[in-house]
Amino acid sequence: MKTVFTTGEAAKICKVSQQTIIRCFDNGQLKGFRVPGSKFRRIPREALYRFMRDNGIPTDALESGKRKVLLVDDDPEIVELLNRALLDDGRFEVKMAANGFDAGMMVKEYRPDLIVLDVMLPDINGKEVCHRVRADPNLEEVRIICISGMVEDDKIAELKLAGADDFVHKPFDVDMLIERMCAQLELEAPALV
Amino acid sequence: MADGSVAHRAATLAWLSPSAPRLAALTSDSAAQFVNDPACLLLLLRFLRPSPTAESLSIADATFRQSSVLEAVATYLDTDGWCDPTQPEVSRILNYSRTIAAKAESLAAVSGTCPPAAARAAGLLAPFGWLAIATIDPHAAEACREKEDFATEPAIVESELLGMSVDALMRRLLHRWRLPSWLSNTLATLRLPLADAARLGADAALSKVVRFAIAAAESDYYGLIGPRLRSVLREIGEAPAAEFTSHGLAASADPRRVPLLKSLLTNTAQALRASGQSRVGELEARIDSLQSTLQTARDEFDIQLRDAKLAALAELAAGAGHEINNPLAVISGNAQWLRARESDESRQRSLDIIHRQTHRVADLLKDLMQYARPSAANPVTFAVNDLFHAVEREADPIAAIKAVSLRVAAATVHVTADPQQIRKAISNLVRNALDVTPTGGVVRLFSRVRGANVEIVVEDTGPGPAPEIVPHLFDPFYSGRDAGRGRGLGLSTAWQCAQQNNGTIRFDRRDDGPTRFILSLPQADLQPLAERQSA
Repeated sequence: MKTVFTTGEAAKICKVSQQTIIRCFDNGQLKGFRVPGSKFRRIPREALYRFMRDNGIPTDALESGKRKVLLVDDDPEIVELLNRALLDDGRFEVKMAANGFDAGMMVKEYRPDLIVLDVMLPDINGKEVCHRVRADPNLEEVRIICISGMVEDDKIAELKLAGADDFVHKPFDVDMLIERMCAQLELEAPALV
Repeated sequence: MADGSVAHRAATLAWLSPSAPRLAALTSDSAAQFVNDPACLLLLLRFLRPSPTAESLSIADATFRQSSVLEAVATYLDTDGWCDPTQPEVSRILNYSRTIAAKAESLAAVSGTCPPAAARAAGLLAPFGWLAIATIDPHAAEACREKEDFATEPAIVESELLGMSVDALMRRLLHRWRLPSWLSNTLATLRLPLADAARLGADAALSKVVRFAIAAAESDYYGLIGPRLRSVLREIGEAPAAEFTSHGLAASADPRRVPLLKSLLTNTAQALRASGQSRVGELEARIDSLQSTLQTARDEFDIQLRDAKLAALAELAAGAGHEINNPLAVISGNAQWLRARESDESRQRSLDIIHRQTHRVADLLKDLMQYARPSAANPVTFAVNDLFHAVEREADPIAAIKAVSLRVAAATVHVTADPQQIRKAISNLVRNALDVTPTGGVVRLFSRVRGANVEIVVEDTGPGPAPEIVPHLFDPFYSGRDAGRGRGLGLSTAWQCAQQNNGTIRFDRRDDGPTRFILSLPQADLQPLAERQSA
């Protein structure tokens, strides 16, 4: 388990900006140390936990140390397949939704780091989900990877305009999809376990 | 001797000859001059094509300079049929004719019951039997008229003196000369009661008008009506015209003896035939233009049809993309998951195959989409050689597996096109060639310049496509294709790529030698490129 965090990592875990973490570090609210011989700030796990608890930030992300993923697809077998692969990988905590409405609710409650979003949903189109997530300033940090069997290049371009960070064609290579997720989350590609 | 009688001889006349000046006038276009001459009118009614109807007949406007009329005249010119219009009895008959004609025309115009031009024609021809008699013997006509009983029993007097009633003579001539039925039925029945005449096909309105006109004219000539009415009728009618002259010819000249009249008629007929040919040429040109219009419409229709097909295909691909790729994702994902946990090598290989084949189906759908809705070309000027190397690198492993020799000749030409699309086109052609070439065969890729185009040629020693499938070589998924060649979308996509870049792909039909596909693209103009490089 990770014991020391950079200000960037702490910012992601707390879902605040890196500047906020640096300000709190510098005014003493968030205890830590600087790397000897340099000015880089480092925050021990216990100090970050105390800071989050004192400021009412949910501590589950720190407790698990895993990145939160929301899988949205109306095909339960695809959801099951990805869930299994992500759990096998070990670095992800996964929740699932089968339609756009549930996805919208869960984005606000669960605060995922990343959404794997099928475009052709039975109720709200994936593009609309992208729009709604991007319209909420509190969800600025959430990454979105769209997946779809659609073959029209122009529609894929539209999704990216609507706020999707990446697009992966179905059928996909599962390892490749996880690599693309890691790239969005700035995780190292090989599993850290 | 019945056959020798005046009327019987008159019944064998081939025609009534107009006077020489009128015949000469037929070769120019002074149509209005014929309006008073029964012989001319008979010619026109017999030989004008199309044959004038009562409604269409318009002497003043008609174009008589028809080769059919002139040729008939030239043919009949040497036969009997002419009578001197200046001879007193002939002149009298002509004036009689013209009087009836003028009165019939006025009556028709006033009553509105029949076309005035038709009434005038019928009136002018009503006594033409007498002209035929006068042609054979003018004195015989005169003798009849002077007979006491003629006013009351004309048919008996005529039969006695002429051998046949003038009515019977007219019926024979009307029949032999094949005059239009609306006219001949009316003229042949003039002495019958009106109801019977109508039953025999006469035009009732026309008959009435002509009969009244005849009655009025006869009152002039036989003094049956008082001078006062006579003068009124004369006012309605027109003054007897002076005999027509033209071309410096006298009306009294026998047309058969007028020098050069026949050649004038024949030459004019030939000139008209020639101008008829130019008319034919004109009509042919119009037909050509109609055909090319039809062709253009057909081409546009074909393009629309192709576009509609592509749009339908694109829609299908888009729908299928969603419906098929989802289950493929499940199949492939599960195969990958099993593969990651499988230690048995043969099971690993099976799972790899499942994974690979699902992606093959997905690629096919993507190709279908690209074929149906190709992305716009992004043209740059590049050396064909660069593409050849890339295609060779890509195809070499396949050639090696099949033990087919792939020979690529260096190309020094440039084209301006989308390199990705052209590479895809060449690659698909080479792939198609490799697919069908049996082991030990050869596939060649080379380029050549033909005029303003660069031709990229892909040759193979495999069996050529069967003739019946050649028209469908570039159709996507054409089911009649022999196994191997052009399976799927390879050739269709290559064709589409060429189209996108103003190029063409064609199959080079040869009975002997290698199978050849030729991709033709406009050669790049390297002048501006050289200038840029030197700048």
